Amino acid sequence: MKRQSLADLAAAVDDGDVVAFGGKTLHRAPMAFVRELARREVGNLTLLGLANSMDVDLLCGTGQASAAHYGYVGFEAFGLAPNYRRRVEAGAFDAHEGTCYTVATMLRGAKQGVPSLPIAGLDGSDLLEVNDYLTETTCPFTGDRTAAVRTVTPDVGVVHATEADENGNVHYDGADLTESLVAAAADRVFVTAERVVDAGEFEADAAAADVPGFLVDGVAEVPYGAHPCSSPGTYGYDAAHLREYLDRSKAGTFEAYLETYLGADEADYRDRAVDGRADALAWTPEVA
Amino acid sequence: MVETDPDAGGRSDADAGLDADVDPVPAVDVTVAEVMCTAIARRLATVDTAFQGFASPLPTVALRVAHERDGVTHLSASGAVNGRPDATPLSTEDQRLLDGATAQFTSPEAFDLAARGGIDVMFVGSPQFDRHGRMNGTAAGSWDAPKVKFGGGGGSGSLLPLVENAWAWRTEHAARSLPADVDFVTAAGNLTYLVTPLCEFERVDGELQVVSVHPGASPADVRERTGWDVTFADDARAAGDEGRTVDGVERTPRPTDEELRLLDELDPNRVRRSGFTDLEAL
Repeated sequence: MKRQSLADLAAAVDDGDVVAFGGKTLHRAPMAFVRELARREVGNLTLLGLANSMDVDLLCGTGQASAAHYGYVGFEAFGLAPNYRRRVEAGAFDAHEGTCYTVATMLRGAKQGVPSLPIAGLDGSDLLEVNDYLTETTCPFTGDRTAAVRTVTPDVGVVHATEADENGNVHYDGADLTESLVAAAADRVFVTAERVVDAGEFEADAAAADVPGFLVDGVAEVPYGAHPCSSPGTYGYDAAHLREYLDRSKAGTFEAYLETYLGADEADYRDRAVDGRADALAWTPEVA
Repeated sequence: MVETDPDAGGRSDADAGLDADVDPVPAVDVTVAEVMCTAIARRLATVDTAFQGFASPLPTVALRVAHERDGVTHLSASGAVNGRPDATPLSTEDQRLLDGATAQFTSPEAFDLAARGGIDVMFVGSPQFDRHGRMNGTAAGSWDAPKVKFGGGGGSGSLLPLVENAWAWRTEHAARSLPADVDFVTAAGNLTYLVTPLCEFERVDGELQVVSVHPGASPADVRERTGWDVTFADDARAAGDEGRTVDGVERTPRPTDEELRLLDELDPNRVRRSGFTDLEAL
């Protein structure tokens, strides 16, 4: 029985932890977990993801993130990530900028229990100069030149899912957006799910489990747990909310945004941010 | 790979909207976005396998055209293989791209495929490209003192040397985004093609040269709005056919009626036009 409250899961994150997020850009970001961190005092976090948006940006805005390993932090067609941008430009953030591939390789190193892995590519990139987790070396067998990536083992990996059972088996609609890699790499794995079902519900179809429960340490039921990002198959991203977040962050009123929406807990957040928007956000095959 | 105007205060020119107002000129049938999209789709006709990352609506529409018309294998960072949704989504990580897909193939798997030479073309957008075909998705200014911190180059730093060809596009053609040398080299390698709202470039002898100028633009416009002393490819100048050339430079063909029909069928919301600032009727 791994079912816990979101507050209990977030309370297990300590100052200085490396926290990896599943999801990519505007899709399946574990935003409820991020908000729960924002409701707490925890800080000095190093975040990790292949391509992130509001998950990393919000914790830059609150000042709780002091570093990140990433290939991209931004909002695709919505524009740059304003709080991440402000922190980096102010020299107040340790940006371990790599590529989506180098971050995936960091996680593969952790998943495989090795200190580093060779990686193809990166020739001619200045990222090799500015990122201490990337280097050039030679193959111990052939002497050929190769780049290599230092392993980072996340203290905590966080995955949002469509459905989980009480034993932590996880299913998400759509393709894997690095959740399986995060779950296999992190020391502790926490899942938020749109719905949590009884233990045993997954027994009828083992293939439905995208992440096996034995890798998962805690699961919490959090409807709209990816909002305002999408939870594929359940709801699309909330363009109006994302735009408001970006506008207020760029206008220097990020604190007022939090005041408006963060609330005391996720039920409070849903009342403020999602109430009355279910139809507008509902997942449909058509794209607005 | 995000495309963002470095001087726009961090505001992507695509802030216009993701829901209703993606297309800035809905009453207009043909713009330079359609010219660019069909130019890419034609080039893809003989390609086996191509990959698009996030924030890439225009190349994704072109790739869908190439898949429908020529059977090109379309790999998407969304995880979709040959996705055939009713409408192309604006976010090109959107899981709606899986509608009609024949398989799932995640982006780390696509990176692995590139690493062993299995991707013929990938698409890259970036705030800056230079005359050598290098890209900067990291920062305007310098790493230590960024004037504008961009979001990062996504997979490009790894992939540009690995893919057979990286093809780039921009929704704006300006000297500040097309400098002689980028401020920071996020990625360097096999960038062989760049299309902008003014022209098409191909990399010849290590330098991007203009091979065609779009309808509505002139070689003088290209010279004025590019950050280096632009070379126009010899073979284009030699074409010399009035109507197909302007000042001796090849014209990018207009889309045919059939191409326009296919574009609107695959992209009814016209996400291919997102991010453009000044689209006009052609």
